[in-house]
Amino acid sequence: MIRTLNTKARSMMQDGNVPIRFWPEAVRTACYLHRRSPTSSLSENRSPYEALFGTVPQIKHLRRFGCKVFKHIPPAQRTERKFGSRSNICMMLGYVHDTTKIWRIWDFKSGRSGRAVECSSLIFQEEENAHERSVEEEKNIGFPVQTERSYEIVEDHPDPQGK
Amino acid sequence: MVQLNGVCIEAFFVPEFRISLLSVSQLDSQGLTAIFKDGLCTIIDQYGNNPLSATLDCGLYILQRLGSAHTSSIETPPQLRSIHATCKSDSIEVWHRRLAHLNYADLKLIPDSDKKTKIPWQTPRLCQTCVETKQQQHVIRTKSSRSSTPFELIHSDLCGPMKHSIGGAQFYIIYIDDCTRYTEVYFLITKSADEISAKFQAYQAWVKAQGLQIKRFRCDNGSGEYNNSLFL
Repeated sequence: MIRTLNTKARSMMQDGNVPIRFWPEAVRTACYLHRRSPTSSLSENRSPYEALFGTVPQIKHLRRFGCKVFKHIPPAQRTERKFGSRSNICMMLGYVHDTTKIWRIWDFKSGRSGRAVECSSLIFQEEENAHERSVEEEKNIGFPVQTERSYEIVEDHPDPQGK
Repeated sequence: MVQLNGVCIEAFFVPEFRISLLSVSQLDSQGLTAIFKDGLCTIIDQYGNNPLSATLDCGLYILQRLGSAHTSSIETPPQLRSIHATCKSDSIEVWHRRLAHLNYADLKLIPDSDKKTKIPWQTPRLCQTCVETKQQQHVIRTKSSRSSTPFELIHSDLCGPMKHSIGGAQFYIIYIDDCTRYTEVYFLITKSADEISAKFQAYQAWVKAQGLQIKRFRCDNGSGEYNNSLFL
């Protein structure tokens, strides 16, 4: 079972370009998905979820791990009142047990270096990875940035304050 | 060896073959000369005699039997017949021993490219040599039947250490329900007994919340994981 979960988690992190430090989120989501997937050890292609709860699990809320999510900022939290951004770019991490309307996401802007939050009112952009972002933002959220790549991008966009 | 009109030829005896084929290279090796001309093959020995000749018919040179009256078939010497007989009747046990006590499953897979040496399949007898030389300790692994009720049996395993995560976790522990394969994961910073027992209690509480109870618990007795009073 460890291998099953690790394989799922590894695939998700690889696909979503998610840093290794997020492995518990990947494992947690892998476990969540395993419960909702048919298992050969159960008869009639049932999932563990169905075996335990007796109902077929919903899958309509499933989204790709590591994809780009736009999190709605409630009016009370907006810094720029009228013309400020209404959403934050976040990274899809997982699900919340017993609900299909709330997701677990990584909010890059929350806290000092980002924070995992569980919230609704999200718009998913599944074909894009949240982590494929500018170097500056990657630095802010403490992602390990490949030196080679950051160098290239720095060359392309010279720092205006440096000159 | 087959004698044909005074010519000795090395031969294979293939009973399923309806036609007897003569190899020109065999004739050459016996010091004979074959001349193909105008639809006629003339075979001449080193003394210039012509013991055999063949005429072309539908792409094949058909050998004409000269001389003796009873040339209706190429005669098989008795020793050849006996070789053929042994090939046919060799039991699976004999083949097993010939192939250095090859296991029977693989023996079954040997292709019978050569029709003569078809290994017959029959249920083999116990080979004493095999037992004496290859016996292994039995692995006691009964095919465990699935539990019939959820949370009757719980499996647990620990994975790690991994790279420190965003939350500082290095390990994770999983609890698998044997009946439904429903899995729960918990993350640990260290694999200390306190932490593990706390997670186990959390899991136990979760199971209780489902209106069920854990009856049995099984783990791989990893070092440091369950050396605590809760599990004794």
